[in-house]
Amino acid sequence: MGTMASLRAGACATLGACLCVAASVAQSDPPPTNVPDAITRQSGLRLEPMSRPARIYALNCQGCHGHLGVSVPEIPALAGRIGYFVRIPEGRRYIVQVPNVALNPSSDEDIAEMLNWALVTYSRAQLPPGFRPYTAEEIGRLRKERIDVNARRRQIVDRLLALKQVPSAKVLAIAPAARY
Amino acid sequence: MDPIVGPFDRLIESLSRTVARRTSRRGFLQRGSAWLVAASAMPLLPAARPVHAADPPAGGKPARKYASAFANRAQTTDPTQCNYWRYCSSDGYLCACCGGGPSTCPPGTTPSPTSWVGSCINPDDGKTYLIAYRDCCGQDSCGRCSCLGQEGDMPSYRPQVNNDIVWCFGSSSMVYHCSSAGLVGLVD
Amino acid sequence: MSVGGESLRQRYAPALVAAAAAVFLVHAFAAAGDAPRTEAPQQLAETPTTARLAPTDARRLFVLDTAFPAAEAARTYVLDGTSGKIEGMFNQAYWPNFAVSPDGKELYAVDTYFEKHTRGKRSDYIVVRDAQTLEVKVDIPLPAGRLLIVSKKYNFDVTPDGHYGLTFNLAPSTAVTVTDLRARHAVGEIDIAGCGLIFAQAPNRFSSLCADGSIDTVTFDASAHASIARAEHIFDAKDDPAFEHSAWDKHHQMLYLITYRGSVVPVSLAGDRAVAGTAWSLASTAERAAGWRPGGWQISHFHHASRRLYVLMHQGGPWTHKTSGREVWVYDAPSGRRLERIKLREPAQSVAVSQDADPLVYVIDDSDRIDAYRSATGERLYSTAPIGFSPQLLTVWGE
Repeated sequence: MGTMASLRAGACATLGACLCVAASVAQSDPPPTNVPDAITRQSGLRLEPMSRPARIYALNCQGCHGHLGVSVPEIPALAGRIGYFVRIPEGRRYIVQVPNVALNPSSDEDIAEMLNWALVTYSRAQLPPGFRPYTAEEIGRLRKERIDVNARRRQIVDRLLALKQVPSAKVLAIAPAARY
Repeated sequence: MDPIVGPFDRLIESLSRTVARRTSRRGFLQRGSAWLVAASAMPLLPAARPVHAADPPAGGKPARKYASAFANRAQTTDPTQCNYWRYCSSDGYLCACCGGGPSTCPPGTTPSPTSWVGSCINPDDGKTYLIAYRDCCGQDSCGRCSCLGQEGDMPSYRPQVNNDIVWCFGSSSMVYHCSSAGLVGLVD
Repeated sequence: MSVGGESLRQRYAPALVAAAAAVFLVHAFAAAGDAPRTEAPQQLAETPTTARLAPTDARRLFVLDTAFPAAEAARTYVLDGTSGKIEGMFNQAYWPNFAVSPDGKELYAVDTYFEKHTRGKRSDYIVVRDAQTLEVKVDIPLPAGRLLIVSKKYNFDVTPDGHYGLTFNLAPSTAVTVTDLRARHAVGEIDIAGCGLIFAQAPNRFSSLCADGSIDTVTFDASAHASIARAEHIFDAKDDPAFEHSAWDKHHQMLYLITYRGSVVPVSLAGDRAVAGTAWSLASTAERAAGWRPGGWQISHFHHASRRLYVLMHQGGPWTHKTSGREVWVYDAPSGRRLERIKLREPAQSVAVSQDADPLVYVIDDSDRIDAYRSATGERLYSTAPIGFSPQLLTVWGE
């Protein structure tokens, strides 16, 4: 029994209150929040634990890239897009070598798990058939290389277009850096 | 990395009773609460190594003995206080004191689409939750309820875990008003 | 006396009246400027003037007030560091930065403005002021903007020859804007993905700290074309990160990284790639066990001539890196030997030391006062009244 039930029991000292409780039970209240918090007690929020890769994404990427894999235009969207990159070897390398992935303190295992999850969660429809998930070993090897991010990305987009692996350049366009 | 040993715990416990930490650079409207510094373990982020409370005594709340000094002093009922559990790494003014709340921006401001995500231990269930420290933007500083949570705050060359950045990218303007602390999810 | 029934006055009255009238008329004309006469024009007891600062010297102290509770009201105060007296101030705008030109003749204020105070079109500038009059000489636009963050000293640095100003940006990728301070215009942006902060070590070179604990050294040309050399594994960015306000000895091109747990990693920035020396500890094993560690805002500073490192220290546990220090610990940096512990009257968040031969240690204490101590003796010279809303950064000439 949660705190809420015991509070109700405590409040049920008078007949009137017990009738009130009986009536509310009859209406079948939604289950109370499972988060001990003043705000969630009102909203009734219930949470299941996040998966491990979702947690890694949330702590390291979500603040800018968004919980749906899309955010402000100047931040490259992941949703509907990152799956294209793993269609070609240089693109598969690139999404590991972008500095915010490569330089992240997370372990190779964590990054592999998170990237595989993000690809499926945000861009499943763009993945090539027979997509081979990243391994920790591959991450460890790839992230050692330093790249010129902008130049490399341009090359990859050009290649994807040449191979007709992406519908149009617009799909992978990034808005120029903004001054908000 | 030296572990902090026994005599230090006693020293710090007595210091914590007498030392009132004042966040003077924002503190002239509110004196910060006295931050306990009793800690006995490595400063791993809660979400990196979830810390479980000791088995709760029968019929009662879990014993409050977390590796997080903040969690040991936190509460879950009043979001206008610096020790509200979600504010373990909140640096700035509480939106709850400015016409908003932990997940609500005051009127006239806009929640930023971007933020940084930290984690805090809920003192009532000992579980770790991810918190989005999203700024409300568009008006100048609220100036009320200044708090300085430091847990998990890293220097700005690691922006994803820094709480000094004005997290207003994509908002109505880049002017910081107050800090909110929205629930992202449950870790364990 | 009377003459023939008339008094003298009666006889001469008309003449007297005429004379008086003439005198009056002359006065009137003289007052109207028509005729040069003896009456001098009205003088002001005091003529209004504007004070002019003496040329910048080692004892001038600049206090940057971020005005946290009303951040659009940021400003920098100019103090005579010897006495603590305020000599002037100038407005800055929105999480600003500040530096003094190496020759001491110009002040550089990095400011962000919004057309309608807190909204509307945004403009970012390096505002150049005359160091003696505090008058604005020119606003140099920063076309790409800059990072807005509670002000960090090393998000702006000036090359040792005073030629370039370097400002940090994050929108959303990290970059440095290169501004030619002599030509008064920005020349371009250099991507420093995954890194932050700027330590301008040479006329065409700066270094930044990176998210994986490496250091990037960027060599650039007059068009902001850059080549980057990375030094790996300099510090532990995951579990023991280096403070943003680590100690920068620009004169000897030495960056003393100070970590959250109280280690010092001496890094040479003399070449085109950073080279780390052997790390040492600020505190002894017993002191660490007692919780002594660095903390505050501008947690450290450096005295070049004597190669001394000054660090704010407090007793605390993990995650107290912003907790104010009760003492300033002073070290001979090349050897790591501690020379003294200056006990502070009140805990302080920021420290700086004047670059003269008898250095003063300035701190911003938790009451927003400046306390000044003589480094040689640890004796406190003065404490000012509280300054501003939230003074956070200290700058001295020649740092």
